[in-house]
Amino acid sequence: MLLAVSVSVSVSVLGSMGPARPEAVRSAAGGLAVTAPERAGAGQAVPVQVTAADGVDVALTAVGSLGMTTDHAVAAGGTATFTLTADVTRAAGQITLLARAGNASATAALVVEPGPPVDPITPVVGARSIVADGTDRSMVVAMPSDAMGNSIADGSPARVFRRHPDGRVDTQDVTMAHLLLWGLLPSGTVAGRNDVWVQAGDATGPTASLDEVAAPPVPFTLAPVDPQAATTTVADGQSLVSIRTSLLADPFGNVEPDGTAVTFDWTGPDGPGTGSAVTIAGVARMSLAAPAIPATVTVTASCRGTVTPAGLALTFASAVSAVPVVAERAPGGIAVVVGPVLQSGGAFVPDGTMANVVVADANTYRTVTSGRLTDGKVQLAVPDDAASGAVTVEVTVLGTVGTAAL
Amino acid sequence: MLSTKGIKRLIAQAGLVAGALIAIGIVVLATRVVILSSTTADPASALHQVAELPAEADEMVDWAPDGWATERVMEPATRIAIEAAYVRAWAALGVYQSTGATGPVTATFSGPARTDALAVPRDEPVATWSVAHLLRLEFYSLDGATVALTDTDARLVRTAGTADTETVVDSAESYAVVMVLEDGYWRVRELRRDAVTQTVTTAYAGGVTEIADARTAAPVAAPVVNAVDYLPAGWPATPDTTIAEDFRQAKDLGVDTLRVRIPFDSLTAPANADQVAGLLTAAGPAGLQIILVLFEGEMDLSPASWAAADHSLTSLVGAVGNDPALVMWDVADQPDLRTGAATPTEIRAFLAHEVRLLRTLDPTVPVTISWSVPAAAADPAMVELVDVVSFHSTGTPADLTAAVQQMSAAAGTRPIMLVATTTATDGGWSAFPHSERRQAVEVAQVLQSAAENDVTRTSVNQLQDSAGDQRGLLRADGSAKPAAALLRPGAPLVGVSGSGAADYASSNFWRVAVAVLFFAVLFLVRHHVWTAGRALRLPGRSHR
Repeated sequence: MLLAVSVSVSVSVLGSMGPARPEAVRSAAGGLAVTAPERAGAGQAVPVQVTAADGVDVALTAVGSLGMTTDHAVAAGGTATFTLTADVTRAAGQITLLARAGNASATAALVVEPGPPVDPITPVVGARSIVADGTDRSMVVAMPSDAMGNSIADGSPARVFRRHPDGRVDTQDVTMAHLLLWGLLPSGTVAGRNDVWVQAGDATGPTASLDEVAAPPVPFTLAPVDPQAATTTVADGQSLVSIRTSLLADPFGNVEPDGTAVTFDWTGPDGPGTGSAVTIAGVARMSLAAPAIPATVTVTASCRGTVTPAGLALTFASAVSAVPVVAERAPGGIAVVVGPVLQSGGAFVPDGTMANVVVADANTYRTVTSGRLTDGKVQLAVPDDAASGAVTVEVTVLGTVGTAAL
Repeated sequence: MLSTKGIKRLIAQAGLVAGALIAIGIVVLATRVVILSSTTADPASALHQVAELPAEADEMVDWAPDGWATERVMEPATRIAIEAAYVRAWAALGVYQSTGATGPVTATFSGPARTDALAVPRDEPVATWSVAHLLRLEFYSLDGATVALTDTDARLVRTAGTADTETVVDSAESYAVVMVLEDGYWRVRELRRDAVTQTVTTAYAGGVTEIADARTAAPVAAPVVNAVDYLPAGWPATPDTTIAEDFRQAKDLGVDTLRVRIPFDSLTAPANADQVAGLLTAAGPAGLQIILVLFEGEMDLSPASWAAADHSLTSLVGAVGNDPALVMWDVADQPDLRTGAATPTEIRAFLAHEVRLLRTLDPTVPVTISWSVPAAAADPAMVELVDVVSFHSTGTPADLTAAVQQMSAAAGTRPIMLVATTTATDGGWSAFPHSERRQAVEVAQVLQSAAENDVTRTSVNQLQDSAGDQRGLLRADGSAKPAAALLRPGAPLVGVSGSGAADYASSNFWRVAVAVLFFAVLFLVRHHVWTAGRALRLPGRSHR
């Protein structure tokens, strides 16, 4: 529809020009009048006529959403003719047309409307990962646009599709508002990947993924991977005991995703210690070294704020049943011969095992030395210059003590 | 002593030098003409470049109550980041339009909005400045990366064309905005012009302004004014006792109003708010009214300065707008002379803009603009703008009656105000000495002419001399000049005696003239004596 209204007043009021107002054309002094469509589609070429005396140079300025531009035309046959090109009308919104010739001016309004939605409609989902606890939520936002890139008109209907981890697909009807659409994506109780996409009219687009992950695990337990081996491992300072968590799963049975960190804490004869591991298939494993002396080691674990309610107690018995010791006086001191020291089963203790020797008399003499066993034996020379009277030799290997007297 | 031949040689040499200088001047002028006729105008001379970051950026955005009360609440830091990005985006549009530089648009827009902004043709000079924005949050995504806003009151100024074809469009508009967080920066993804709630279009050609606007309010009644200009010495550190003494002296002169012309940045600086309020508070008990002159010293009235002007004016009106001593706002003193940074069209659009703002902020106090010449004040659109039509009188008092009559005809029902500035009392170099008696004569003529033409609002000169200006009615030491006695109502204005012999004798012009005359006479006498002596020495004459 074309409108042409000419108002011959020196001062005109241009107020509250909403998109549906019929008074799209105003004029000021000098007999100028602007004739233009009240509405046009985005990207369309729009003809504009300005009534003016022949030979008058008319400047037409178009003020749009994202800029303004001015063009000139000389009136002929009582009209100066302009064409608003697609570069001017591609952005939706209200365009004010201001015609000027000398001191005369006239204005008109043109509403550029967005076209129908076109592919693709690209949804943006955030947060990308939520907890499958039935209370967490994410959101999908999309800006369906027309062929010129304008968001489609507010009030346009659209539909959000969501494929849940269990394969179920549900939909949510939404409406364009403030140039975009959005929908909440509440979490379910089944962990896994969701696919989300949007349709508006005949247009659709790619999916966006939404991961629902397990909530923090319910309280879990620790246990040796090989319970039999755990009971036979001795305190040799070298053996390893593997322990594992129970299956880490949230209250809805969703197993914690691979890579979930588990922290292990233990207390033993060497003091507290800490280690960490990650879950594979919902279970985390860790190897714990046996202490060098017989003792009980207590292990606890924590994952995403959940701590094992009770510690796992591992008891390590002595690795050596007896420490043979022979001591005799020799020139320059006392010769101490240790061994052969055998571990359970009759084999030598591993080479390098420490033998700690304490030589003392009844008074103040006391000498401490040590040596490493090779083939279960070691010979040490202990000076005895200050010793007087009877002397006691005490040798400790892996927590087991052997003695000799001189 | 020069011989006659020597004098002739000297005159000849001076003639040669003068001829050479004239020849060089002609060549320079011709070169300028050629350059001007062969060079196109520098676009920057016709169109102001828009700043990439407006000076008042941190004051340009206000927030309406949020329209988004669900899900995520916007963090204060995010709000600041968004408003900063939004102001920059508007500035980027202006930069692109005025210079063609695409970088700012690329940095502040995203997706189709960026494409659309850069697609708009730039065939003619246009520019956009944003002055103020009122944002309302409509949507904030859960991941904090998308916002939808409504700019419910975007105040924008646009210029199109240059010189006589320039049009300034001052509008209030509404925009729907979507901004997205990309690479750590907020960018405008969609900007849609939803509505135009007000448009004021200003054009100026041939000395006539055309304003298409929405103002229909009746003029505000203005009181009778018998004023002098006043600038507190040492402002803003002027002691209260000094102001009180100035007020007492002004009251003693018989004036009822002071026209305060404090430089605008000193007037509106936040630190001076109490001082300005104190000035007005002291005026009431002293029996004086105050006219505050705005934008004094602000030489740039182009749209680039409007945001700052609006902000300062709003602050000032908030501080003193309700003071009963304030009887008139003078929006600008001689704005038509401030064409260094703004075009005549932009100056008039600025005045229309600020008057409109002023009427919104303080609708009960009358408004005027003091033009430098009657012709500018008589411009019908400018008359429509104000409640009192003011103009300066700086010509001869004899011209005043015609000017007042011209103004009265143009002002219609609006009263007119005469701002007179008479000759300074600094002696001057004129044959008619700039004396205090001459000032008194001129002041008397101005006041008499005003009275004869029923002009009941006048402001004459300034209260007191200052170091650089001796147009005061009081000398720098506070003593009264003869003209000071003329401002009291009922003072005799006829028969005021002008400059006397003493004034002429002490004037610079006549001192120099007498000195030159003395030396000329001395030279002629000496020359006569010399000539007579030479004749006596000529051959054939007897010498002894």
